Amino acid sequence: MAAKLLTTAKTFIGFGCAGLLFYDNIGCVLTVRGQSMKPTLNPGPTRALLREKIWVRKFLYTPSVGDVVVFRSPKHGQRLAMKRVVGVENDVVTPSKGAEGTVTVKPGYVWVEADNCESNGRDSNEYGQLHVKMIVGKAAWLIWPRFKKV
Amino acid sequence: MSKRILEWLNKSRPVIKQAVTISLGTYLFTSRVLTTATVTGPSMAPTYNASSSTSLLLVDLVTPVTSLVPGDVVLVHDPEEADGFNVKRITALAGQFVEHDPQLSGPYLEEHLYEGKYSVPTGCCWLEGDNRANSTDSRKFGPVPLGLIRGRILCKLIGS
Repeated sequence: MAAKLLTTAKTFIGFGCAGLLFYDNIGCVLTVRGQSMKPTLNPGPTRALLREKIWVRKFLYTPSVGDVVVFRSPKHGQRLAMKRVVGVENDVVTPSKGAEGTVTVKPGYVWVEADNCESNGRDSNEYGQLHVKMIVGKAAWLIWPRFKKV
Repeated sequence: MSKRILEWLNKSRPVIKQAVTISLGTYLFTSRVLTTATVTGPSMAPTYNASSSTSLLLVDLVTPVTSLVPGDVVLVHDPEEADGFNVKRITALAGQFVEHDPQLSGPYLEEHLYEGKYSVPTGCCWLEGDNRANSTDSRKFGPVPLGLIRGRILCKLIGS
């Protein structure tokens, strides 16, 4: 009896750990919130099951220009944010809002901007360059309610 | 020749299975629960010293970043590089004031100036090395977003 419980417990722990390893290193599914990436990615109706879901790729990912990335928000320690990479290291970027002139992206940083310029989404125009280690992964695929490459 | 290899593989299956489980388990543990860090610079002397012998610190990865308080020593991604870590002490959190070092300049800091003192913006913290005379920290690179903090230093494992 005890032996069977132990085996079941071991299986559960095993699957749990495998799941965590997958989540940390391969990727995960997240729900789109906020207006800042419209019309590419849209927050949908309030019912969570119907909201747009994306597949975030984490495996061997380095940011490149044009990618939509998910990252830890520089303004809220525990929240995730999602914007598009407009410049990577050594690129010269012209901020779409705010400061005049150009910005040269430092090594180890990227410049991110919202697709939807009318949203009050915060991006590099507000908080400056984003350190690459804040980036969790790339929003690679829209998986619900349709399949679409992001 | 290959038949012998196949036989050997079959025989060692349980051992291989155990080895894989142990390695993946260790990897998961050191990436989510506890890990170690080595001190390589002078910025945290005399609390933590880089010396010729190994100096190892134990890092807690579990404590959420919002539970950290001034006084905590943290392992943080180096804000001046893509890779690499720093070990520094949190001296202020968002909303708290720090001495504005008159040697620092630049528009980002000036907009938060308040009666000669600088207020740490939301989502960030202020890091300083204990060895203030010989430490590159927030006084140079500004406030650090909490998202760059990897974990909290618990204690010294090896070293002086």
